[in-house]
Amino acid sequence: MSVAVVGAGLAGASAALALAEAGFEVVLLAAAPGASALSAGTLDVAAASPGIATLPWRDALRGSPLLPRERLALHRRGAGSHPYGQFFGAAEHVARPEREVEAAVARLAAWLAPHGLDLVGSLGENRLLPTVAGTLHVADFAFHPAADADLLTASALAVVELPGLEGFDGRALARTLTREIEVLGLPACPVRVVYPKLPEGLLRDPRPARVATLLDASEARAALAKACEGLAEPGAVLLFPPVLGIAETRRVASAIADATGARAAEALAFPPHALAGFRLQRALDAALAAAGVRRLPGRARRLLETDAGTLRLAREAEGDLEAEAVVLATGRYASGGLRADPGAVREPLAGLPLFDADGRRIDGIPARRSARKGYGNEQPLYSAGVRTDRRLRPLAAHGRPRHAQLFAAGDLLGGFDPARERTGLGVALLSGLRAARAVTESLRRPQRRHGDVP
Amino acid sequence: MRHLRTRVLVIGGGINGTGIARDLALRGIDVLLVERRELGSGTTWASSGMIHGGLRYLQKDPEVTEHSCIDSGAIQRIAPHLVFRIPFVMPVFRDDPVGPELVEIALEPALSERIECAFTLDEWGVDAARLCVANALDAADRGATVLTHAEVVEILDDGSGRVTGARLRDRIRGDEAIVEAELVMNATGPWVPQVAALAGEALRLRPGKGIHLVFERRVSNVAIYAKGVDGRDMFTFPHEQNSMAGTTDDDYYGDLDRIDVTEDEVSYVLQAMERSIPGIHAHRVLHAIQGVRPTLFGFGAYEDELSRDYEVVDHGATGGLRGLYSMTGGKLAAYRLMAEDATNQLAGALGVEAPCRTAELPLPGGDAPADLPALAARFDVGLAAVARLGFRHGALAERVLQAGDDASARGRRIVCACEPVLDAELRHVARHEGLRKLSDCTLRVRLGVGACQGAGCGAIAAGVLAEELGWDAARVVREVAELAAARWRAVSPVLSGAQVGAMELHRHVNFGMLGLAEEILP
Repeated sequence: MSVAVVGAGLAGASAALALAEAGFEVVLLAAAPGASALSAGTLDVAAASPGIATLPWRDALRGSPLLPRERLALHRRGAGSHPYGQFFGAAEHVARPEREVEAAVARLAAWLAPHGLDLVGSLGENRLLPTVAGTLHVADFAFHPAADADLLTASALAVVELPGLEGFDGRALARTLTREIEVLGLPACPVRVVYPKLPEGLLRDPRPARVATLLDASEARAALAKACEGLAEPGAVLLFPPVLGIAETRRVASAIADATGARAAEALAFPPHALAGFRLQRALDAALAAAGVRRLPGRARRLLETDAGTLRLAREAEGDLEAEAVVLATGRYASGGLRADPGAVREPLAGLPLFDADGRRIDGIPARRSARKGYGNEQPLYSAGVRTDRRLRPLAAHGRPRHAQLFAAGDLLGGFDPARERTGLGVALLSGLRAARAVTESLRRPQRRHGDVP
Repeated sequence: MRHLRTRVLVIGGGINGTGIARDLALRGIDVLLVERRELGSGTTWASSGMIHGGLRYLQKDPEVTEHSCIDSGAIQRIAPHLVFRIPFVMPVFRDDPVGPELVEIALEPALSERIECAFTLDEWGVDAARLCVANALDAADRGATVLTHAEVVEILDDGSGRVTGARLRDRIRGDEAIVEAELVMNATGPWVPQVAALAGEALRLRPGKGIHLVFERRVSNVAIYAKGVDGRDMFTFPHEQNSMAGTTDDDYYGDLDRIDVTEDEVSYVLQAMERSIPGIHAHRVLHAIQGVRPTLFGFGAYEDELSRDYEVVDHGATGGLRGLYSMTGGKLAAYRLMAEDATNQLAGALGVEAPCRTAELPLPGGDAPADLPALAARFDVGLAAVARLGFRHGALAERVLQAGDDASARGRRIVCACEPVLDAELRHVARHEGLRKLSDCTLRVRLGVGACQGAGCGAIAAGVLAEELGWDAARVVREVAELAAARWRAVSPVLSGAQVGAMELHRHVNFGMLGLAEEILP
């Protein structure tokens, strides 16, 4: 018997890695990459509280933007139904949430680093990272090489134009960014566009992922680095579209830095060209394999209970899987954790009830009936997920945990709107680790119960 | 305040207004066309995008069908690039009362097994928004002035019963202008009564709301007839890259600027389709399109039974404001004929005798077919993208490709992969077609109407337009916000299945990454 984790995004992977480190035999079921693989390059642990998200961020920025630490503290003061409210609401002092976040990020960074992905940042400072559209994103923690584009520490910025590349227009980016720096009153940072003489054939297929694959090869990255010589002064940032390799990103970036003396960074990009998420998923997969987590193919179809009362996962093609405990980290709609069938929205594995941020159920009715008119309105459809007890055990309709050994993590947790609150990956990481701890405590307690309780 | 002078002021940039403006311009009459939003964004965009006689009207309104059939031939001649053939299949079920032994259906595997045989006929589809643009461009080429996002806020008269022009307000800049005109043509479709009321004139329509559902890609390459639960005829049909299904026809009394699609309407249309195509529920519905027909007033009849005929009202002739005309009713397919009739009246009032030439002179791009493979090779662009360019711009496709940068390869970059839309096309419509807003690109070049609903392309396209139109960063963000909000309005009433996940990502991009805040959303 072992612990089964369903879903291999950041939430599921964090839970699986932590459980493996705690000595459990972990089985991971994941059908396909989920929303983590589409993320843009930031972790956004405390990116914005509901209170901040309702302010135009530009105004917040023009004044004095709150530090990540201060934004995190807002959750402690009762952020309603947000999972952080449950995690930190009772914390008497802000130091505990801070310690938890810092430890969680350090743990993730340690898992990812051996597989080529670097995660940096802190709760004590903001990073201002440009997007491919030339707008700015306030981040706390971010992955290399997006993290290196921080405008608060750059003396100058040279946007690298790759003419014809899909999803990127260096001139338009530079133009918008220049205005943005001016309007927001940021420290002066000259922005210009540079045109390296690109290696032959680099842009034959103009999709960023293709270019990145080519740059993984040592000759291609050496050629690009050479082409960048003299394009930026030392200390400046050379801002690229998301093409700086997939497996060898660290090497691509350092080759360019060595050749130019400038920092090689990437702009934050959106799906379908968000390579950062792809790199994150790749590094997580490698970390899971290194930790000995057993990965089973096939999609979980249904979560059942055996006659003996243990949990059993029915799979689509292969045989059923029994487990001592199950962590559901299946995400929401795009990841398959929630389904919007023509007749009704539902949680497909266990039929768990789904609650929006106001505590109203949205399962059992068609999705469009929960969709409110304005795009800017609060959308119950997109704040809904499962509701849990303090040990992250999802509640059944009667309000008690559905099963003593069933846990949930990540976006599947309801009560918050990850898009508007910008805390998606932060919730994934913290809840994944918390779910692992809850499983650990839960499975070890019975043994203690039989022994001498101190 | 700006002063403009023209002979005829045409209000409304739908198919009627642009058709009339072109006809006037071709006859050498000075014309100013004013559209409150984007060209073709009202009833024209909400139509089925078909120039056909309408089998439905054949029995009750044979004259309308005849006019439409004849005139759709003219559209095929003057804008061959904008039309596409749609074979129709009219299934006969085993239990239907009619049904001689006809062709067995081996053509379309999606059809229900309960279908015995089917009739087929051909109709023609058209990009109705582009048809408006083509008419407006041709008018402008011949001296007309075309203003979009400009609203008539007052109709001016000389105090003795004769119209003298109008006061306009630019809805983007906020400034106003006075237009002096000898004649004013109110061609605002369902808004005709509202605009006539500005001049104190009362006009009555029987507005009929209609919705269509738009599917991702195509359900079938032929159009398939279906019956609604109440026996009404509907169909699902291919339209450009997608399939559409519809339509409904219900009396409408609500706000013409905020037409909502209800769950009833969506379910009603899907229920009708399900009988002919049992697997219809497995197809992803992307969004709905809704609009209101400017149907002529009639009392005591069901919506479907109302005449689709049109009328040109000369207000002066019935004791109202002299020089003011209104156009009501009609069908897309006969737009050119209706415009000809209306222009005859306007020209007559101005004493101009030049003949109508709209049926013989090609619309811009309609003069010769573009050599697509040659263009694809010359500009190093995929054939699929060039084919869509050729569809929208005809012979002008080459000029569009030249709008990209000569030296760099930027112009051939694909901005919206769903359609696809090239960088060069955005630059072209900004430079040469008077495009003013990102959200108008959905009609102008079909940007952002695929599965991702602009999540992947909105900000990138805004960057291109910013460069062309001189937008600052705040404007870029606002334009993206407006596009996002418009797509949500179109998608949310039909939101189901995989599209729920697509809109989840849409929100992540717009709120999470671009940082759109609630306050700047319209």
